[in-house]
Amino acid sequence: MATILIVEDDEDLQEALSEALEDEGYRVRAAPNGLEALSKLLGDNDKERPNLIVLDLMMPLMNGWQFLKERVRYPSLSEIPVLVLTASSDARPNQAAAVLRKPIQPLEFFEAVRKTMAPSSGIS
Amino acid sequence: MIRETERPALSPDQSHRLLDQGPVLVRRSDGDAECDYVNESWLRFTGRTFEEQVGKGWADCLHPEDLAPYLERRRFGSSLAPIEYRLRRHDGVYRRVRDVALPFFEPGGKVGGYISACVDIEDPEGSDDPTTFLRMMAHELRTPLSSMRIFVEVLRRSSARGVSNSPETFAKLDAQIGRMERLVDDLSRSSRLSELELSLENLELGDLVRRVVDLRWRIGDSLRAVRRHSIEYSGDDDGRWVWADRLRLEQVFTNLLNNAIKYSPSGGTIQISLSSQDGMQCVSFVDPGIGIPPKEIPLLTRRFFRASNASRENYPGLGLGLSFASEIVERHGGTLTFRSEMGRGTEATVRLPAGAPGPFGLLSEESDAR
Repeated sequence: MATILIVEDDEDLQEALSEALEDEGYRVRAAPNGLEALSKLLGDNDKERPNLIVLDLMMPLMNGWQFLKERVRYPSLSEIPVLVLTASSDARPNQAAAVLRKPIQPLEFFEAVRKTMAPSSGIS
Repeated sequence: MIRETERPALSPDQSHRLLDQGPVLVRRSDGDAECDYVNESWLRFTGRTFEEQVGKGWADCLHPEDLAPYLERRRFGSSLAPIEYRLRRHDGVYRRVRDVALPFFEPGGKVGGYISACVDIEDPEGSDDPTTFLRMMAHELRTPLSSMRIFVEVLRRSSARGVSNSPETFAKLDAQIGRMERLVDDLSRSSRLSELELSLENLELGDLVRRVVDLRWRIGDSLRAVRRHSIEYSGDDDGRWVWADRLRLEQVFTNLLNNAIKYSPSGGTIQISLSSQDGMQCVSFVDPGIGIPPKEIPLLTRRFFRASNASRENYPGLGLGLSFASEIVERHGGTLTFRSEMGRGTEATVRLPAGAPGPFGLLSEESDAR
């Protein structure tokens, strides 16, 4: 089963995304900011590592831009594709595999998740 | 041909005074964007010291989204045409400025860098600038709209599968609608705040505060696996009567609670205490959050104000909540004050004139006078 890490500080949206993705059959983990996401990811062993990171940009402690910058320092993390969700109409971080603008259209979101997801590497 | 000698020049002293007292913000940088000079106007505008601005320090005042495009365009050989970007003013508000640059040359003719001059091009009336406001409002609406769309899709799918829809999902959807309503309410009130009318009744303050906290916590309690914050009450909360507008005060306490949560992103305990002092009933919200720089505390209740340690990239928002809260409390004859320690947390205290005890109060002349 593919795993998705949602990094979003808005508790309501984090919950909505989790519920919808679990409903789609994904395993979902969540972090409320870039800093906690990073510490979760670095604590993971290879098998636990997610196949996709869904990343908000405006967040406390470590925002999405800072997270993307930090992530490239760790080769194991920079392989995980990132789908950025943003309420900004012009932000386009170049390390993201895809960028979706809020308000999110669910079908478009699911499609983007499928397309950007790294293949699940034999995780049971 | 114009002969230069016929036109008198400004003395160096006059030029310097003009530079330091005028409205133009001037900065000199070398080819690596290392700054070695900013004028007094730049320092006044940004509220920073010269030492903080030299080297790469000046770049902290540019909006993070605008910095890279700016540096790219100001590189050697790039255009020196006017560029607009957002520059953070001393009060934390980003202002749109227009920047023009003039290259300077080293002996031998090589470009040594550029001197840039920029001016604030937003409405001088201040940050009530409608474009900025509408942009931020649109931004604020997009997140709850996203949640609503997704919850509706979840409900649609479970219906399609013939599974009965969970009341919890409806409750969550409803909570998002409530959030949108508050935003729309803020939007309409921002244009006619002076018409704020109070509908007064005798209220028990402790009861009101608990109601607000319960409402904020109700949905989360049953549904969220991990709550990052907990609430601790202190002080007896019985019999603290105030003559006040229930909905408005609920709005004040909701705002203070939401701020306590928002600005303590690592979680922790939010302490709510009730007390009486000099004929006033007091409620304090203490959070274990990021705090507020001391010199910015007096600016907190200004509309659109943002503390310098809470950038929009990390803490998005309209910067309206506290200005409304303070306006409402003052209309009740009370005060909203703050104490804070950087990195330790903030205490927000509402003080309201004590009312007559009992659910109905005393319809005295005093209450008519309000």
